[in-house]
Amino acid sequence: MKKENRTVLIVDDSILVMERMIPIMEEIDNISFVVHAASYREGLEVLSRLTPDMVLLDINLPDKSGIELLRVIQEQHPEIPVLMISNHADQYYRDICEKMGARYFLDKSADIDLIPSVLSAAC
Amino acid sequence: MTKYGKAIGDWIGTSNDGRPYYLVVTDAEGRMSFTNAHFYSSFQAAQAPPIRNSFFNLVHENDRQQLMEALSRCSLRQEAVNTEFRVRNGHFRWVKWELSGIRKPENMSEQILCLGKDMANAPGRIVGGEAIPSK
Repeated sequence: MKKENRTVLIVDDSILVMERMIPIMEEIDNISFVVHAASYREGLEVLSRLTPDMVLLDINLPDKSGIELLRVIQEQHPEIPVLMISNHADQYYRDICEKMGARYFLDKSADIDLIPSVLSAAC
Repeated sequence: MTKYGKAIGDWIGTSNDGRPYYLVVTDAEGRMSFTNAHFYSSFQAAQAPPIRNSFFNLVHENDRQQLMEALSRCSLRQEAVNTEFRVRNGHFRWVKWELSGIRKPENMSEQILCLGKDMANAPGRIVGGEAIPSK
């Protein structure tokens, strides 16, 4: 049975991605609350106050790598599933993120339509 | 303009004077479904749990009528509404808000985008005070 009222944190500075994400989130029944952070610093700030049920995390953040934020999440909240979304979708980055504990890895340009099914499965 | 009724580029980042925006998406009854990090860190973190929290819980009781009217105008008349009301962060802060409907494909204004700019330090405002803002 799916848990209700899930909270999702999206860490991504891309306007286009956010424009796609918001309607996607609206369509997933058990996601009730979404917080958006546009940088590593904002992501850390939110995580210090909120424990989301899932994090969608871009690798390319304006102030620091999303991989560094992934490391922090794994250290502090290893129970939170992390979905990496990136244009750096080559195997090198996939391997690093998987090794560091990311549960999922999607190509931002090619796989964005898969996000609803991944979120539904993870949430 | 996007299909959400507002340039999404305005949602993210800071205003011309360097102050970050607050961004909240609510339904017509004020239930929040989305915030940006600046709003969450500034206000929402004081509330637990955040889920399905009403925006009204964060607004000064004397200003809730303004929020109610603004949501109603956005939802029913599909107007963009400019207003000011106080939001709680330990004390209350004056925030200038622009509310606009998020248009669904069937042109239903089911959600409201609330874009806020903190009026602290702006002329005529008392930070955290109970004073009525100058109009």
